[in-house]
Amino acid sequence: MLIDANQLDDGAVIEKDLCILGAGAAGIALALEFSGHGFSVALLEGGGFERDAESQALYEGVCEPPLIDPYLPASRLRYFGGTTNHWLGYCRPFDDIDFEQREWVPHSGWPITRATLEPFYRRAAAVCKVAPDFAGIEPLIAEPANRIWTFPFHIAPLRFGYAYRGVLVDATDIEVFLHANALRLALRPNGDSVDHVEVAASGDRRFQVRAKAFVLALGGIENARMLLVSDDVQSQGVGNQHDQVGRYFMDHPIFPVAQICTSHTSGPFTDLSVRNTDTWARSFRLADGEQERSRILNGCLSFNLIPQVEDVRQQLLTKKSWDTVEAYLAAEEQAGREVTVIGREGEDPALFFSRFDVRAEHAPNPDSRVTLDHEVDRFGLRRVRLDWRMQAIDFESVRRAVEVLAEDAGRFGWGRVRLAPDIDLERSYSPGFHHMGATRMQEDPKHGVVDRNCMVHGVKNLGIAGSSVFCTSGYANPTFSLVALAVRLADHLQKRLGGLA
Amino acid sequence: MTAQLSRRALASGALGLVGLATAVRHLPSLLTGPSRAQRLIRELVNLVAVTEPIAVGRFYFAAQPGVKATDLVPQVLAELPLGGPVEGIRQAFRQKLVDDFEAGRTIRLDGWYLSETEAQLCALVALEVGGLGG
Repeated sequence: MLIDANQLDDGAVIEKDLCILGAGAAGIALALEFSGHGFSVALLEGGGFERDAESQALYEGVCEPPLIDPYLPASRLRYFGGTTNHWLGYCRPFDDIDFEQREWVPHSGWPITRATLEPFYRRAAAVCKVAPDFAGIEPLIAEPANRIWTFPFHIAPLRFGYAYRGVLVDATDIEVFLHANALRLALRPNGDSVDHVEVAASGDRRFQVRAKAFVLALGGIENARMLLVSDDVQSQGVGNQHDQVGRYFMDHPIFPVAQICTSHTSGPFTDLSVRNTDTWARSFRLADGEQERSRILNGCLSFNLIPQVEDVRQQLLTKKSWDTVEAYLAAEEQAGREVTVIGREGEDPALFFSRFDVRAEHAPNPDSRVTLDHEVDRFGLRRVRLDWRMQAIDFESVRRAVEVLAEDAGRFGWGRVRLAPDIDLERSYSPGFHHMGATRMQEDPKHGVVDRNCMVHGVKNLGIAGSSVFCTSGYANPTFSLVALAVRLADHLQKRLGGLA
Repeated sequence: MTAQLSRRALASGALGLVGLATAVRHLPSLLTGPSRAQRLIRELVNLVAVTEPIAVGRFYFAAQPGVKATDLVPQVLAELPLGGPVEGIRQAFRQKLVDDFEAGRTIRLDGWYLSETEAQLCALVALEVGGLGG
């Protein structure tokens, strides 16, 4: 059922089994998993079905450093379907190594493994409407000294809002509320659970949603903001007794700093990259062992090789008589060595060329964080202040990844690599618009916000869905993994709510 | 006026002689196709995967000024089996580049990670074709 919150009575109280705040990829995936299971669900969306400036302005805030202006409203979309409305659709599970504790990457390690998520990745594939046959990572060539691995991305830019609007509106057990702006999580007085969420319609009307369980699915930044602004019972904000909410914010810095040149005789790069299609793209990364040896982060190298139109080699052939070379050859002959240079007929091998990006893992950093600004939005909620910080390992990892690629390209004859000379990596990246880590998953509440089931530590009926629970960022776009985690959270909540019933 | 005409005629005649000499020198290739040196350089440059070998070669000279073509040619051509089919030359040159990388004989020129041998070839091209002292 569809309800426009602007039509509700002021002071209305809605009662449900589950209240989901936010109708982006995570919220919609969660709602879909609940449909038909005997629970009543409220799905709250602050915007409408289409983008509007008034709703979008609620995402404004302060970002340091100002990498892209304005980062906060430009990187997110505040209407039904959320940021999937501008998603490029790259789907790939995180790698095993992304979940592991790496002693050379401080604060790395999840409380779950890739294997834990495997069945949920298969279900996420159905939600994202991609084939579940995710090919593994494999060495670029079967050679022990090779340090480059390759893997494919599926590309399926599904607009969740359009794809699932009908299903959700038609569902008898789900009520979709548009223009329902969550203002505050109201904890019970002892602080151990959420009693209700206060909601504002577009105008002055206010209403409440009471539920047995609540899930924040507001996005990687807004999840942290909602916990922080809900500070009337716990003064530091909900789930923030150890000052962890908002910390470890990560994005995928993208470094468009390198180039690669190959020919069709160069082998795997050219062979693999020219086979990319609209629904499938191959990328490359350093082998796990090389990451450990070089003590660097994960990261993904992607390029689309194109043939070079102008070939300078004909010019080289015809412009010069190469007297010096001829003299050398003559001297060789005089020394009794045979010099024939029997030529071949045929075309010169075409060159292929591509600039390429390094989409880097961003190291977890407690000082990279979401906090609240002193400015407030039109509902009186303090705006976001984002302090996105990079560290030396973030830049060194990019430099080393390009270097290893260049070395192996030379050793195996794949082509040649160029890192723009005198590049200042610290000023040469742009954000990937992937917001991760601000309510990270850790077993110990001193080091994270949610437990392994994505439930907020110390608040027994509050879960979080979205990339804010990620402990590390890998290189893969976060949507596919956050959908898998949302599906897994749905299973967990259904068991708990079943028990409560 | 007469003197100017004479100078122009003289200059024109001199250029004509130079042109004739160049044409004579290239006559064999015009009649029979590229010379063996031209074919050889073409084969080797084809194996260097950089888009602008002349530009890269210029960076080599910036790093090592004063290098002459007579220094570069032996380094580029050493150990190549010049007496056999061109495929053998190609194979040996490829291996030479790989050996450079394996042995750490690499050089960074304008950001490109190159083997020393191919950098020297680019330098030779810059010298002979790109007008660096050529």
